[in-house]
Parts: sequence; C-alpha cells; structure tokens
Amino acid sequence: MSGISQPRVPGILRLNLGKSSLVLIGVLAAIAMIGYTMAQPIDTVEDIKPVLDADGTRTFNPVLTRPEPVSSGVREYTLIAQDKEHEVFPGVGMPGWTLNSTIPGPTITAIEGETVRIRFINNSPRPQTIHGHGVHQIQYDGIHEVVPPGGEYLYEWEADPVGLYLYHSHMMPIAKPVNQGFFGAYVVYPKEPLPAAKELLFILQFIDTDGDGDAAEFYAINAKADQFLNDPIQFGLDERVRIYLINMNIEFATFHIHGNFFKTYRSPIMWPDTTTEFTDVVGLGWGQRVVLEFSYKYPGLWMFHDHIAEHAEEGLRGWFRVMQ
Amino acid sequence: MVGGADLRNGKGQVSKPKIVLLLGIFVVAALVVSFGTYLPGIIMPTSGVLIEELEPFRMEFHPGEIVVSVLNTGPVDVTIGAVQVGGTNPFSVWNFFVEPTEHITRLGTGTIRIPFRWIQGEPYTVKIITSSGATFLAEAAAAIAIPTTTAEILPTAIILGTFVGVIPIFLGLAPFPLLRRLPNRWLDFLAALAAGVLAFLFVDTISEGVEMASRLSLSLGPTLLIAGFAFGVFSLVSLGRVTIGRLGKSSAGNAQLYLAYMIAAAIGLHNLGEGLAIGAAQTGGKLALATLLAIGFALHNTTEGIAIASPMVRQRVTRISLHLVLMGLLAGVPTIFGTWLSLTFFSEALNTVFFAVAAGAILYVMAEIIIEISSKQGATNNPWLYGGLLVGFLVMYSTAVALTVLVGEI
Repeated sequence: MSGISQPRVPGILRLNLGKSSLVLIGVLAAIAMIGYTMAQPIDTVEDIKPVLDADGTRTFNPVLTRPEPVSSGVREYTLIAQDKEHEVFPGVGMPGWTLNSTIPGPTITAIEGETVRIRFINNSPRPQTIHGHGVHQIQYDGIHEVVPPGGEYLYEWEADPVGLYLYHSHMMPIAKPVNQGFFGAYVVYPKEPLPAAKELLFILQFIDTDGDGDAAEFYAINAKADQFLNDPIQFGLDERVRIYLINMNIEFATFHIHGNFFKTYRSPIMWPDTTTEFTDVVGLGWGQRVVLEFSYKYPGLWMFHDHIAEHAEEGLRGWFRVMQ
Repeated sequence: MVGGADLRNGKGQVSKPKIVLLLGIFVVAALVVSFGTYLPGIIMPTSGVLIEELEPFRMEFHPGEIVVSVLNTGPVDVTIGAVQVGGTNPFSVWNFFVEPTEHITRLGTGTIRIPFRWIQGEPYTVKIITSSGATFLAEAAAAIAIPTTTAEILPTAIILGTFVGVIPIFLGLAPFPLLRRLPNRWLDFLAALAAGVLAFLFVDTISEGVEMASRLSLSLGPTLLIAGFAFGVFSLVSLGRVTIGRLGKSSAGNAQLYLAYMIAAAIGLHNLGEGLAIGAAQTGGKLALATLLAIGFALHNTTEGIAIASPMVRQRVTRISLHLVLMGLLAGVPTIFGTWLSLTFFSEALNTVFFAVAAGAILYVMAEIIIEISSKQGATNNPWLYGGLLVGFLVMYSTAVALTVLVGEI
C-alpha cells in the first residue's frame, strides 16, 4: 500500500460507461427479448390436452351377463385398438390404449365348448398383440404374430375349460400396455347355468399417470379409481352376488368385504365343487383370478376394498348399498 | 454523458467499428430470439405430463388443515385434478379445494386447502396430480404450525437474522484496531483474503441460483437468472459511480472506504440469500436445520466481517467507527429481511432472482478487489496475495463443508 500518493479510483469505475452504455442496452434488450419470446404460450399444446370422460359414456359396465349359446358353436368378436384419453379419477386423465374405446376392453364371454373367434384390428400407432389365457393353438397365443399399426389378425380360442381368464397385450415392456389399459376379461360359462345371481366383473389395476415408472398414482377397479365410492353398487338383502375378480396389477393385491364372508372359486372353475375358502380377505398374485360368492344378511352401506391400505386409499375401494 | 454523442467521432460521423459492433449485437439478438421462438416447437413433447410445471412454493399447517400454495412456472395452463397426502404412511387420495380455482393459468398461483388432521412434528408430503396425470410434490420434514401473521413472523426473523447476520459481522469487524498494527505483508494477505472469501461466496451463490433456476421451467429459470445476474453487476457499477461522485475522487482513503462499502453491500446481498435459506428451512418444518444453519452461518459470517474491514486498514478515514457500524449493518441486516421475506412468501422464482443479483454483485466486487491488488508493485510474485486468496476461499469452504457434515443435506 506504500508509495501511493495519487488518488486512486477503483479499476472498473474508470471504464467509460457512456461509450459502453449502448452495448449494455443492447445486451439487456436481447435478454428482455429472449424472456419475452420464451414466455409466449405454445399454442399447439391444445392438441395434447386431455379430453375428459365427463359424461360417463365410455365408462365400463361392470355387470356381467351369461350369453345365450350360439347355434353355430362359433362366437365372433371384433376388437379395435385405438388411442383415447381416459379419465382415471374425476378430473385426472391419461393417454388410454383402449379396445373398442373402453378400459378395460370388452369382456369376452362364451359357453363351454364353443369356439371364440376374435378379429383384431390395430388402429393404434404401435404394433400390438392379444394374448389370451386359456387353451389354443400356438398361432393364436399373441406372441409370434405381431400386428402392425393398421393391421388385422384373427384369433381362435377354445372355450374350455369353464373359468375366469384374462387377455392383454404381450408387447414388452408388458407393464406399459397394462398401465395404459390394454387388457380385458374372458369368461367361459358352464353349459348348465349357474344359480341366478347379480354378476359383477372387477379388474384390479395399478395406474401410473405421470409415467415415472415409480409409484402408482392410483389403484382402480375397472380402470377408474374410487368410482364405486362415488357411485355405490346396489343389490337386495339376501340377493346372491357373484364377483369375478382379476388382479391385473403388476403387484400383489387383496380384496376384502365388510360385515360378511364369501366363498372363493379359484380358476379354472369346476362349478360347484372347487370351493376352496370361506373367508373375508382373499389374496391374488399377478394375473391371478378368483370368483367370489356371497349375500348380505344386514342392510346398509357396506365397504369393500383392497386390504393393502395404500391400494385402498389410492382408489381401490367402494360401497355396496344393500337395500332392505 | 449521452450515449448518442459518443457514437460520433470528432468529425461528427458515426465510426465504423461501432456500427459493426451494434450490427453484431442485433444479429446475435435476432438469432437468439428466433431460436427462442422455434426451439419449443422443435422439442415439443407429445404429452402434457412432460410439459406442465407447478411449483409448490409454500406449505403451511393450520389447525385441521394443510395449505399448499402453488405457482405455475411452465409454458401451459395447468388444472389440478387430484390431491394425495402421504408422509410416514403411503399416499391417500384426499378431499381438497383450490382458491381461486383448480385451473392455474401461466404464472398464476393457487392455494390448495386440504382438510387434514395432521400430527405435530410428523413429516408430510402432498402429491398434486394434474388433469393430464403429471405429479408435483410438496414436502415438509415436520408439521409445525408456523407463524403466519406479520406480528408473529417479524420477531422470529429479527432474532434469527440478528444472530446469524448482524452479530457475526460485527465480531469480524471488532479486531479492526488490531489489524492496523499488522505489518504490510499481512495487510496484503488480508486484502487477498477478502477476494478469496468473495470468490467462495460467488461460487456458493451462483450454484444456489442455478439450482433454484433449474427447478423452474426451461424458459423462466434461465431468463430470471441472466437478468438478475446482469442487474447485480450493473447496479453496483451505477451505485459506485454515484457514491464516488459524492465522496469526491480526491483521496485514496475515500476510494478505499468506497471499496469497503462495496464489499459490505455485496456480502449483504449474499446474506439476504442466507436469510432466504433459513426462512425456507423454517417454513418447511426443518427447525433443527434452521438452527444449525444459523450456527454455521454465524461462524462463516465472522470471516466476512474481516473481509469488509481489510481495505481500510492502512487508511486515515474520518469517523471510522461510524463507517464500520454502517458497513456492519449493510452486510448483516439483509439476513433479517431475507428471513422475513422467506417466511412470508417463499418462492423459487423470487429466490432465483435474489441469488442471481447477489452473484452478479459479488462478481463485481471481487473483480474490483483483484484489480486493486494486482495494481500494486510486485503483486505478481507476492506469495502473501496468493496465500490470502487461497486461505479466504478455503476457510469459507471448510466452514461450509463442516456445516453440511453437521446438518446433512442442506
């Protein structure tokens, strides 16, 4: 510090700011322009906004009906794969990989001994297959023949033995099409009609809406979380109820009803002598199915849910309204 | 000092190099603008999940209610579809309502009110799910009914800010009379130490700013960061010109006094950021973290006091005690303001601007000190200067590391 006799003005201040002020203005103007430009709305985003299923027209009907036998012995279905926005919870949508515009896809029902012929039309933008559980020849297994976008394929399944099955895409990674809703139920009814009952199909499913592949956002029955919480299922006192239950989750799931017990029929189902349990909680591994049968002794608003609390509280729950 | 007059040379004609320079600026600006215009179209994602941004900037615990405030920092409007509450247990779908509406416009805010019987001291996470299925998390390490009115916030901010910001700075300024008796080489060391301290603060502040900006959208974050940074640099330049005008350019002592004030102002801006961090920790329920931050910052800030004092050590400055008090307040009081601001309105967008301004200001003052040091005779081979730079940086860095070790992740 010694030897300084002249006044010193710190270095930067000796810059002539007047001369460089235009440069500065230019730089600041450029920054302002970048900010302004980048802050403009991106108008094409309208195209990717979800169109929500507010009117319920595409809601899957959980009520099952035994079909009348067909005289030809061949039962025909057409399944059309198409991408559609799907509402998984009131106010929350996700890109749906639908079959005939619904999630789950249509329930394939047949009478024992019939042939099920499925014409599959792939109107989705990606290759797909339909892999059905059950007995069929190798070319109908949905593994070797991949149906390209715009393509078609004819599957033929033998409706035997009696039981509750499922079908789903077998395109890997399989968790993705399952998450987006590309699956459905397949029910083979015995020739002899079962005792009359209110029959319901419940497909249990996880739904990851943000696509992070991590935790699911929702757990749902028939791809809509909490739907039977908002819209209870009604039946009468002592009325026989039969629930066809499929675990489409990629994790273990359970099912529990309040104030009651049920009989369980594991699949394939040889009615009526395959009763395995009389209980109120049943566990299902990946892809496992069970048919539950019960009737209520007391009226009221009874709860049913997955007994895994997280599944229940993220949408896998609902009410039975048992009428007097 | 009108810019237009400088454009002309002696003959009243616009000089060529300046036209070229201006043209260059406009070409670059045009390129940048067109890039900004078309880039979003090129990298347009196909799903709303990827493009939506929602920043939960505040989470409060009221009796029987969790309140989360969100800011839409993305390029599109966002509609809140569902809310889940988790924490020690997995997430549960929960009832909620949003004021003023679930539809949050760009740069708009919403207040999500969730009727929930929360338990004091337990951690909570709120998952916000938009209509397109995107998710955003608001997290609190411990549910604490936080002060919400100014009457409750102000005492907290004053106490925390005084202990963290004001007192340590004065502790650092206190040995000033002793510093005056040090031999010259130690004074060189101290001057360089100040630059080293600022170098660390610059790295610390700019990385904080970049991290804050990265939590905002790709358009908003960098814009705020660049604008704030430019403002930080040039506001001190302008302030400096005004101050030096007032002080008069006649004495070296005044120039050194000015430099000390600049250091104090830059450190003050940095401490505003520290206040924001302390307030944020408090808001997020991280009470233990806020306390430890306070202790750690106090050690850290004593070094800052020494840095402020260093330019004036060899100068005859009149009313030096008054100046030292003013500098201490200039550097320390912003901590109180930062804490208060963060407790009142915590926003990552606002924080980005503050950290960017502070980084710009620090860079300016650091450059100022280095120019000052390097103009001395024999500066290039004076080991005390390099030693000071190194020690200044390392002392700040090691106290920061010790703080991190102490409290875990900050």
